[in-house]
Amino acid sequence: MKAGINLGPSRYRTRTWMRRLVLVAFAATLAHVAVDRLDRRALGALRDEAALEGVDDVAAGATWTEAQSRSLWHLAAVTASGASSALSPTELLGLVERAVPEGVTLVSVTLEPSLAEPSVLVEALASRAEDIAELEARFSSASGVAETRLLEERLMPGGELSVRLRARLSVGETP
Amino acid sequence: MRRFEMWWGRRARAGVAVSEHELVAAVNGGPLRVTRRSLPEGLVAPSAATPNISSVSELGKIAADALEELGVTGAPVALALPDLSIATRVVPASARGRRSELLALMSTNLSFPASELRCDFWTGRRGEVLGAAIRGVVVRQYEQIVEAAGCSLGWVDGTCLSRVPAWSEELSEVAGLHLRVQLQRGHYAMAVFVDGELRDLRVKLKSREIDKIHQEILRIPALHGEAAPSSVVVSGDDAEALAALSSGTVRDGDDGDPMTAALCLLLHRRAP
Repeated sequence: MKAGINLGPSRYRTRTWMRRLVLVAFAATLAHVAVDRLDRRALGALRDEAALEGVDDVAAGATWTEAQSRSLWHLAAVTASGASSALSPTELLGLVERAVPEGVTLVSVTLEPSLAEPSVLVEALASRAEDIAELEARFSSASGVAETRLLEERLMPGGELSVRLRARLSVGETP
Repeated sequence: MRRFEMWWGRRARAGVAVSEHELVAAVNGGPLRVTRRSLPEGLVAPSAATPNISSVSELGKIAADALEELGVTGAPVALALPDLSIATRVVPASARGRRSELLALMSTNLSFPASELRCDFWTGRRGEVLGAAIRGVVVRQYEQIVEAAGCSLGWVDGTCLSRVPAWSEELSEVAGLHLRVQLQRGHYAMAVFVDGELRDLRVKLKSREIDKIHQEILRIPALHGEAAPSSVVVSGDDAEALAALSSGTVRDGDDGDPMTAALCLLLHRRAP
């Protein structure tokens, strides 16, 4: 309820409302920023969840429509969160090129844009065990690589060594 | 915090009340401090139709001197104007309309051109509307005395008029007819509340015979279909004498000088 009669000029009556509008607009901006940050956190959680559920859906033989709609939804979530920029395929290939030493033959490179643990899977052939050790060491020391794991090492019938190596990438860092 | 309060509009601390006889200035940054100045005869002649102040510069100097004594510089200053300078009208809740309709209503029966009208409305808890109108040239004179003191304007209200919201708040849940009378040296204001709703506000010149006000008080209940008033509280000049006349019907509110009381209320309001 209004406090009373005010017969002052209208500019004096409206000034306080203008001040309040400015303060309310400022508060609304702060609230918007806070909500946006909360949304981004929620999207990060969704991103992790999406990574796990996406694999499970395929494994469990979910219908294509379900899997597709989930994937689209997850893709939208990841795009909104800005995480997709952390997995630039061109830069990943550059990382592989720098990490593979001479004497090692690259058989395949698989980019695994897993949302929880983006990684690169490398299959290679080498004639000497030292070359394999060098390959692993280079991946381990590369920037943007959080962890390197030698998944498999086999001796091929021709006497060559076949290896499968996974390099887990740091989320948010450019390799 | 101080700056925030200033921005949010909570620091209407100083006020000036003017009557035909004196100027009262008050500041409430802490305990209320009040200073008074007697005015020369004829300097202020309250009227709704004609300019009230014969010498704005002289009154401005008096106001500046009073505010300076209180240490007020540049702060918003509330103004309590003489009630006789303001035309009022009470619109019951049942007849209440849009602002444009209320403005049209206020424009009728004015003693000055409606184009020069400056008015404002206050709505009570029961939906009744109190309209107050003043002629632009009249209110500008009073504003100039505040500007002459180097201060900005806060609330601009009538001396008795400013008490209506507080009376309404006090009586909002009370049944029956209640009168609140504010007496000043030359005039009086009488507010009539029925079942918590403001029904009438009369501002009249006061005759020397205080008994005439008492007679009016006795006539009011019949006008509103009531047998007798549930309470009559008078305050200001001659309140004691009026209470003595009525053998218990009328009670002296004993809240001191009307101008200081008005300033107290205005200084406690949030900035407009």
